[in-house]
Amino acid sequence: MKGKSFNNYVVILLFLTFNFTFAQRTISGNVSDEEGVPLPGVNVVIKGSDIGTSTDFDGNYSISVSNSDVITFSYVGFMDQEIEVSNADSFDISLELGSDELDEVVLTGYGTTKRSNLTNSVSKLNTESLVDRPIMTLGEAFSGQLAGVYAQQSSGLPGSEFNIKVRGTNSITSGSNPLYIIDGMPVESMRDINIGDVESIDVLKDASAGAIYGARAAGGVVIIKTKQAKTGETKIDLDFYTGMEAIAPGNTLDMLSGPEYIEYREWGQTLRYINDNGGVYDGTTVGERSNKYHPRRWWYTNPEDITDTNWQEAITQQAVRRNYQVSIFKGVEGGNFMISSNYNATDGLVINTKYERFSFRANGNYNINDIVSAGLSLSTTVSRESGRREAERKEGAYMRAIVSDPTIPVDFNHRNHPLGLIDNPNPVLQMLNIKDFGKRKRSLVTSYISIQPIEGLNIKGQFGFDIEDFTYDWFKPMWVNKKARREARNEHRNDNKFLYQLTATYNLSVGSHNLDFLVGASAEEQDWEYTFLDSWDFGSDDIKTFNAATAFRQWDDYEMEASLQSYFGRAVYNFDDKYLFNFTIRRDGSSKFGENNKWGIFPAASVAWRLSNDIIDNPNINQLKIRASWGQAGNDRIGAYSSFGQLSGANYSFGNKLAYGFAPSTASNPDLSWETTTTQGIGIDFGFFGNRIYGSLDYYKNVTSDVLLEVELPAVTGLTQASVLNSGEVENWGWELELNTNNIAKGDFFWSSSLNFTNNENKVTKLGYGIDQIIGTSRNQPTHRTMVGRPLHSYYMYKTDGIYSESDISNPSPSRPLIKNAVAGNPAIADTDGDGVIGIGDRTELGNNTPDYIIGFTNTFRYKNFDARILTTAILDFKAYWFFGRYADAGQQGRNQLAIWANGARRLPSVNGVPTGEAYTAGNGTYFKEEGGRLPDFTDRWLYDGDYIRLKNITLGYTFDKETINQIGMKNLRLYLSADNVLNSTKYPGGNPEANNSEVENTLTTGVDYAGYPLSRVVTLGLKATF
Amino acid sequence: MKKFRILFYSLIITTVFIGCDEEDLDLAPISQLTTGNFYQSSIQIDQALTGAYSSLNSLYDEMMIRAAIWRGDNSSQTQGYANNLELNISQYNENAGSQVSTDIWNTCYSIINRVNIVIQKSEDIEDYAQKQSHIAQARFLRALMYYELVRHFGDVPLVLKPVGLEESFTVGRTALAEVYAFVTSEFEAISNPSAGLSSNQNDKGRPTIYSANGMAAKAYIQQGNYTSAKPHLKSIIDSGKFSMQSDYAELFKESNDNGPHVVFSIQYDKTVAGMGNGQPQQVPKMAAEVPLNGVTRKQMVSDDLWFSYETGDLRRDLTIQNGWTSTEDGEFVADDRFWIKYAKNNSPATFQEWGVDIPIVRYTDVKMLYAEILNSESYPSAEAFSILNEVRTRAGLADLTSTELSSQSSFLDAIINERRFEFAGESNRWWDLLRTGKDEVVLSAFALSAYPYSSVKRLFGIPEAEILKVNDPSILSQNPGY
Repeated sequence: MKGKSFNNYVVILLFLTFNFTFAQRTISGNVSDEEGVPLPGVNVVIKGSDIGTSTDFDGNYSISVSNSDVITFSYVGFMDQEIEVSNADSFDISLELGSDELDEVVLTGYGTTKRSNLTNSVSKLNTESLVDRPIMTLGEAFSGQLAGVYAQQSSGLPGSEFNIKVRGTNSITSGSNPLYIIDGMPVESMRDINIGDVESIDVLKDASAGAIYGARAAGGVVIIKTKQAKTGETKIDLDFYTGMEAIAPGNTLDMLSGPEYIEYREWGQTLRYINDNGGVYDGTTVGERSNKYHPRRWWYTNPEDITDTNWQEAITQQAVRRNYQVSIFKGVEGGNFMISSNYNATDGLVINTKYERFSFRANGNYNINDIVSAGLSLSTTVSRESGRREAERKEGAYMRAIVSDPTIPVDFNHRNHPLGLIDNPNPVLQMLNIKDFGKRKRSLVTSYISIQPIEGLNIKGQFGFDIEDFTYDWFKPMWVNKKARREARNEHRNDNKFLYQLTATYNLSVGSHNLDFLVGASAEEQDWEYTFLDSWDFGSDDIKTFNAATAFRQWDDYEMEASLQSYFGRAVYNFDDKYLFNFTIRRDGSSKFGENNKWGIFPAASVAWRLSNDIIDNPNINQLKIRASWGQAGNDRIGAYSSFGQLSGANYSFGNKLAYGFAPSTASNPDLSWETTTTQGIGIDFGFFGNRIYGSLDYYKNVTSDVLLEVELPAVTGLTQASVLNSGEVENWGWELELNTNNIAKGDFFWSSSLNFTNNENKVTKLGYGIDQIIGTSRNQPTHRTMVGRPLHSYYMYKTDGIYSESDISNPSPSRPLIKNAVAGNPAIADTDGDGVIGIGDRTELGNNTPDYIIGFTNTFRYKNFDARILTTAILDFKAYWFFGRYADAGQQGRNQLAIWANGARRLPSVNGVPTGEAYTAGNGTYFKEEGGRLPDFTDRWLYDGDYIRLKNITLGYTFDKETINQIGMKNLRLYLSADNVLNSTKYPGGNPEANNSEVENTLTTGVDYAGYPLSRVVTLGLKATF
Repeated sequence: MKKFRILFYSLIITTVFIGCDEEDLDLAPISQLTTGNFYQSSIQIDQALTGAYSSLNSLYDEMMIRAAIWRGDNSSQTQGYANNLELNISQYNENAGSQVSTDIWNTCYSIINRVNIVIQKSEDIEDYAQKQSHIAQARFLRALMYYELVRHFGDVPLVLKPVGLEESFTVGRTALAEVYAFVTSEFEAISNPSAGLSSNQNDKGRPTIYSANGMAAKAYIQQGNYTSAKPHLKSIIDSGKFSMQSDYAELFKESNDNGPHVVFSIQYDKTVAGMGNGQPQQVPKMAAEVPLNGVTRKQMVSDDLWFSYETGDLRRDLTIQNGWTSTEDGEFVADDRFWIKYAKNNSPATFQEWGVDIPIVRYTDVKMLYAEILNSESYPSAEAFSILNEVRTRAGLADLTSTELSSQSSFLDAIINERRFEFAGESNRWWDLLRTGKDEVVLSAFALSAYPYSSVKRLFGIPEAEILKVNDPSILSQNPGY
């Protein structure tokens, strides 16, 4: 064997160097479809090697082979076919329509299985469909690709993570994120993982599949495997792309222009003047009135200084995205390696924001003999981000730029301008002058050694670590705003995780009986260190580091540790590929849990019956399988020490003599444990007409009990901080469809579609401890409610009912009660509790931010050397609260408003700011009036349907003929053009209905958008070459 | 050979991976002490007790005194409040969700829990020198907190040991009389020197037996029980350790903190960040009269108080600033009055960190209460008149005699009225109105017509958050009127 593979190796080298000169002998033939139509471009490759060609326009091929070779014919939309060369000289091949997807391998955690033999819900992300897309953060790859997986993009800031949810939200106040397994290493995030290195992504969606990962798998498990060289493969891949970014459709907000703003302010001040004048207008012009009724004094004293600034344009930039990847693959019999390096740089749309990443990877495996093998997967990444805090946070520079006064020039923060310095920093100067810089280093390494002492038995020891180091520097110089001091912040975080793992697998096949066993044990250790400094005592703008600080304002420093000990096992029984049984069990012990509940057991069982291999014998039904699963998995997302009653410093000074004291700050809870999600699911996997149509249909119900709930304890405990208790129950249910069709495969033309459809709904069935509802607050006012019998995190606000008309005010009726000090034109609040007054009881539930339906639809076309792929996503049936409306759509005088506040749209018509005298009428919801009653901040006035349909990506590619490319020493060459966020259809006015930048950490108040960082439309041009 | 290899490699794997010890799952916090490993030594008990004292700072400079001032007739009901929170309380228009009453409730129970732990855990430690003292101080703080709770809220949960998580949802209210009985019996018990409190004032800032006597008396008097209060007041007076300052201005100087005019006070220290007194900062932002200025005021002086001072009362201008000069443009803002009692003659470290202490029991208070009791026993009481006139003399006012105060009740009215000016800007006024039953007459006249005063406002509502947490009116019910 060894000699053979060496030969191949030599052959490859020679082959490359001399271009076919030394071929043993040539065979040839023709490839056609079942109807005899010739197929051009069919890949004809010697199995286990890189040697290959493709058919010409008439379906003809010729290739140099030796007698012992096996040739593989493959073509998209058709089943692969293999032939042994033996001593024939010619083969004419007829390819059968269909797909081999069902035979692909799926990673199931500590093992693999064929897709057709799955018994529970695992979805495989088709990485083919990600090729050529300019994906920066791996989470983006999940958008629209998998049924049951929601990838929410809450910010357009480059490098920001997507929020991934598998089958909805199970937890109320704790995280519901999936667990990530990268090359066998369980980690908490995909941050900074380079998509160019990813070979496959599998998602264990239900607790039955996830139970093998025990106490952490309730939110699903995402298994990521990175690329490795295949045996016989020697190649260098280059992938370069560069692209331009612009603000995505719908993300540009139409605001008042300079002249419109002046007119708007004059209108507002005239109204005030008229009000103060007893409702009578005496005909004075703005110039004639006292300062009090001047909108901005300098407009009249320094008219030459008035500008017409488009602040959104000023705060954004033309951004460029670049990506360079080089990967080297070499695989021989017995060993392989892959090394790669990647550089990705993406400018943000907001000036001075940027994300930049350098990543390097080395993967290798070696079989020292037929008993022992070892391997390593090593990656290290450095990423740098600028402007994250200033641009993205709520009331950050981007949001404030949009509402900035358009009559002031972009560089107005100087004393020469009549306005001089102002309290809040000019957002553009803020972005340009404030240092806001983070850098992160992540190294993820796993290695293994495995032995195979007897046939079927494999013992594998694995070791790995994931080390992340993050530093953040922030410095605000003097005079970015009025009367401000210099301020600085420095953070350093170091997170480490170590894994030790031993597994043994045993396969036993006797006749039609096939048994697979897995047993394993693993140990994980984690530690975290965090240091934070904050000061406002700096003497100079030039030195921004803390050596120049003379005192600290705040500081923090802490260390934490956690450990996890696990034992797990799995038994899979397969009878003749007809009856499939899968049992798993895991026992996890975690340091995070209370001393009375350290250990938990997570069992699962699933069965499947492949009818197509048993009682159905129809050539058009290639696969028909029904499956049923049950299982339990846990969620351990709590702090490392949540079960401990912790003490904090609490000092007192007796007669000015300081005494150090300590007092409890959190409750001790020795019973604290994981929350448990129990899945029940059924599903059908199908493949018809030579698998030209294949897919699966699932229904599931998850019941999450002992929910990790932050409960406000009665004050008699002496504690005012909420404690995490196991209390409450949440149900999630839904159905999912994955459907793939090969629509047309005729000669040169090929078209396939892939559709995934997700439905997920939830409700709270119990909260416990006498709690009926949990209120989420923003700005100290209720905005959300989580109530027994209702969906999680529902919006809970006042409902508006048109506007108050003149007659509503003059003749108030109990059926239309007024808010305090209401005037005509104010939005009317509905008296939902019918008590005749507007009060806190009138808040009502108004939908939620969790989409009920998610649809992803991919169409792939190929014609000759051209190909195209179109991805459309639809996220439906959810609400989004555009809190930005409170700033830009409320008739405020100090901030720029949406363009609809120009004369006549939101307001009653006026001439030179003076109302023309039209009356406000009931039922006319168009008009708002700034003066008058104090309106509640949170009404449905800015609560919109978030539903959107997005043309997420279009990719066009051209692949050069192999024959041509081979002449210049390349194996493959491809050019492509890709466009992301091409079109967007939504009623949501704020651009990105998934934005969430209010209380980001507070899960109770999801979906509050303060004009989040805008999404970008990216158009990239790329080149992929293989040598 | 092959078998050997298998054995060899199996051995390696086994040693490397199976040989690892099972993970230690009992990891305690590294950067924080825990309730499980603290309270093990006398020093730690002492630190836990200090932890209980610690919350007195915010309780008395932010919540309690302000709330009492807002409630009474010394505080304006219409002007310049920072937000509706304070105005609502001042107007008797607050609801059970008021942040002020919630903060008082939470802080009192937080201190109660801390001292309950001290009392419980100190029992587990072998006898040590300060054990009795620790327990007695803890009992003093606990009784003080229940005194505050019972007079603010009426029936309240009476918990005398740490409360568990599950149990906390089942704790109901104990009747007012029972809580008061607990409070007075505790103060009485620890006023006995054998209980462990110090009988000298060298241990500054900690309660002495006189503090316990003073609090016992105040708690009795709040219930109208003069008889039981009298011996406690007398023991303070007879100790000879206290004296009234001859100059009212000296009473609130930081340099006189813990002086003989103070029986018990809350300690503030401006030299340690976060431990200063924030009460004096309740002044206009740009008032030149105040060193380092303040924040937007939360307490406004009522016109009624300003105009009620007798002519020549020295205390008026030491208590209230009438108008102020803006540091920004030098302009004088007339008729805008604010409290200056703690700020005058003191200088802060930052605008919110002042060193001056807040007295809970002043010797003047002890004497005036004693005079009140003497008057109730017999009229005219020479000693009662002498105490009243001692206070008036210090204020620069003429003596009152039985000519002006010709009856027992007119003496009582006079002394309650005198207390209004003597303790203006401190918390006594509101409680005096309640215990004398004058609240309905005085405050009904004082309240705005839109928000009339009624006797249900004698108590705050049980914090709405607590009612919601327990969510069972049979366990935790609400006060009438909320």
